[in-house]
Amino acid sequence: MASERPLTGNSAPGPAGERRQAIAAAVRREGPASLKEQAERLVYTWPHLVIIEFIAAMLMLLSLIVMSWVVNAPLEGHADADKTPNPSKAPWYFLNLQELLLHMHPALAGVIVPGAVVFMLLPAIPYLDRDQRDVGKWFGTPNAVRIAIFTAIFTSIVIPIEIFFDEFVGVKPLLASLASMTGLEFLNDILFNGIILPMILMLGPIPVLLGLLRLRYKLDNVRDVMIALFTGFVVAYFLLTIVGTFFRGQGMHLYWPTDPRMERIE
Amino acid sequence: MADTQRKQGLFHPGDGLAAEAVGGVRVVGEGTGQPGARGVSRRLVFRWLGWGTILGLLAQWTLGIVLGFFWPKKVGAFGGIVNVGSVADFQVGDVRVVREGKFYLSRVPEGFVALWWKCPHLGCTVPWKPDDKSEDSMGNGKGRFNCPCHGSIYDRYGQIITGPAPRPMDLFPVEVKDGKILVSTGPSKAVQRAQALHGPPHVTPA
Ligand code: FES
Repeated sequence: MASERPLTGNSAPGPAGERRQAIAAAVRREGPASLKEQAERLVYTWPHLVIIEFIAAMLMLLSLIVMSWVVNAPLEGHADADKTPNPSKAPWYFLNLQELLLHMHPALAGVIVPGAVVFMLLPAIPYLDRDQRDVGKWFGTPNAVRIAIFTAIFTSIVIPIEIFFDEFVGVKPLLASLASMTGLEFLNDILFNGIILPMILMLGPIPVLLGLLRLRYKLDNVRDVMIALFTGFVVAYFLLTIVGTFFRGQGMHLYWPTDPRMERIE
Repeated sequence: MADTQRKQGLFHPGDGLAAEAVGGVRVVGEGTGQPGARGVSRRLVFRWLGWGTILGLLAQWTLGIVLGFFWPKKVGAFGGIVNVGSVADFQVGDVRVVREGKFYLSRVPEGFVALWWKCPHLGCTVPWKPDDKSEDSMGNGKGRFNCPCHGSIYDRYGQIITGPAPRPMDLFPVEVKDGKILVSTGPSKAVQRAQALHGPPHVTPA
């Protein structure tokens, strides 16, 4: 397997072998360090790291204090089960999920998609991309930055188009009229219009993106693919948060941030 | 002196007096206590009183708060049969909110539907929007339900037009008796349906 991986230039038998060789080479090159050298190279946790951490903690605290000063967060009135505030929004860091909830079956948007991302896709990255070289280096491959930029642009085009489509055409109305035109009743089923079609719309752009990247940048190793997919995820995440925060008003419809209908009615 | 200063009872057990203190309490004044006399010192009584009060208070809070959640709250007549009024009061296209029953009574050409106002998506209270664009042919092109949480839109039959809700709005059974409209309410009465039909059994004829 290892010798087939395109990034691997030498003929080492595998990652473990490579590592062993690298360590042996390093030892041979440098030889054992003298005590004095060791003392010079050593940096102690205390004070070096702890001081930095302390300063970071203080800065964080300070910014929280300033923010709580500047941003008002008033307590609201008693909740009234007979009347839901309009629009009803989650805290801003959940608005990406709430935006997802607008477009598909609640099990898909609320459980399956976040569950798959958090418990399957993100943890899978290091198992799929097992190349040892440039580990820990941001954008370590020659085309990485270009791939990330292309993906970001691609995602920022696709996501708004899909959001506009669901807002102004609507998956459900479209499928309902298709179903009554063709007599294919399954199109009107929640399984299709709430789960299957949204899945196609979410996953479909991925092969398109990878195909485009392959045409433009050869895309011949796993790391490039991972960079593309991860960039797509991050950009989609932020776009959904932004749309949910600044562009959803009464009735959870799309409005400009300046529209009076962005105002919440209790 | 040694006797009265001995540590006793409740967090200072070990001299056997704590066990006796639970039973018949005989207060022995500090000065009058005979060495070796069976009894409870004033200190021990106060200690018990103090801790007892705190425990009692905690117990009261716990019971009040925890049990309070289990106590059914009767809000209006939700859960029973609600009399909405007479058939003659409604014109086709009318939608009236019935607060005590937590539903909307909608008059459609085929009769009546009572739509529970709880969104079948994630349970928000769905408001009736009389001035929004209509999704059916009633109300001069105006009026629909629009959930404020994820934007599901329903027509006067409760049919889901757009948005993430997995089914139409749930129904409460409607009965028309001597010109009076009676609606059975409550979560156990709610009827779920896969598709909103125009006509019986989903619509009760007027
Ligand atoms: S709760 Fe009504 S649309 Fe989600």
